Amino acid sequence: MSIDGPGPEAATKRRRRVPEVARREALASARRLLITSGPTAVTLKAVGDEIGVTHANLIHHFGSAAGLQSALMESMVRDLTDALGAAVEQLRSNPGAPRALVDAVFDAFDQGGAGRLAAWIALSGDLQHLEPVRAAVRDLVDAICETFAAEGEQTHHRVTSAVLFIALYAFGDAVIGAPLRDMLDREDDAGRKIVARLLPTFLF
Amino acid sequence: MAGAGKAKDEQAVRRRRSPDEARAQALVSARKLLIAGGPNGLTLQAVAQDIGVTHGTLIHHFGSAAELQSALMGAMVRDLATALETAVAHVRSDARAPRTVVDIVFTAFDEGGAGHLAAWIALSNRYEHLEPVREAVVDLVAALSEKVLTSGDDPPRHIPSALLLITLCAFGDAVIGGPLRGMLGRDRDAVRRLAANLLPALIE
Repeated sequence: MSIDGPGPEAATKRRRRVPEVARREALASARRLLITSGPTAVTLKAVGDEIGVTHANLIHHFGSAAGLQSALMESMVRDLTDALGAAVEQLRSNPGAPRALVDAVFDAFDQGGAGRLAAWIALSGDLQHLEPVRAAVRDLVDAICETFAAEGEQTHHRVTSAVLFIALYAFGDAVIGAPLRDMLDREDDAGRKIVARLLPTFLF
Repeated sequence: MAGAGKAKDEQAVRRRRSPDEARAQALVSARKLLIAGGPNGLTLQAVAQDIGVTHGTLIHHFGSAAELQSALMGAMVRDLATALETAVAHVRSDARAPRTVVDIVFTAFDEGGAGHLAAWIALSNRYEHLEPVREAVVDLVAALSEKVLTSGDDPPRHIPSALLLITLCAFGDAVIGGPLRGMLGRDRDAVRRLAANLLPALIE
């Protein structure tokens, strides 16, 4: 972010970018498109139009639309890892307060668009490109294990259980939570409350 | 087998059906198509061909593809209510009952195709047709509440929360559980075990 100042839009379009910057700009654009218009809007064409690069250039960086979606998912998981650092630290000193952690994950899946993006990737059946996401998820688990400053099979098992549970629940809540909560007459943060209540039972 | 199937199809084409029968038959076909080819294979055209009626007849019965999908989702929830009856009656008295409940719901969402169908409906933003699903969910809550009430003393006020938990976990596991469990190095059964362990705490 600090490598290159923002600069006016028109200048951005004409400027030559180093590959890393171009890639990052494409991901920022993809994320905006996802949040405003949903996963179907995250196409190479839309991103190319928005940041002023050619389709071929984006193919060069991401390979395909599926590659772009996977790279976007990866960057979201990495952001989540950063956001979770403080929340996990907080949870360790106060096991009774997991709500900050739960909120960070639910926000990423809901407002951040990660839930709908994941659903879209799953429904398109194109799971060949998920290697970057796998690496990001592994790093997330390692970071949490490290924060707990405990090693061994058991910690790893507990942390993967917790990640599995929160991620699937936050995913479900982001994608079908609104209509389902309405049918069940539950308030908007019912899912977050349940997860926050249950989380300590398998982390400690 | 292909020959016999064809003869049967031709017979089906010619036979006249009562409206209820035709509707039921369309839903059976829709379910078959969903399981075989995923939600994007679930079109009025495909169902019409499968059961030998015209596209117009299906429009008459369901209104649109979105309404057919919603009717199918409603039918799946109703089947779930029937399948859950026995297990739910024993959920407080039999230690194995929570796992049975979890298995029934997870199987409906996974092998039964309800997970992918729900994701599909959510991603296409067709929430205006969800009335059949809502009715089925409300009936399910009422039926389950009655069952749990007869087996315990307290009012079953936690039923909607428990349903929310199991449904969101089952949905998440069906749609993104495969790749996510793989990334975390967890087996196919991991989320079912977690949900079964958490369930008693929710309905106590």
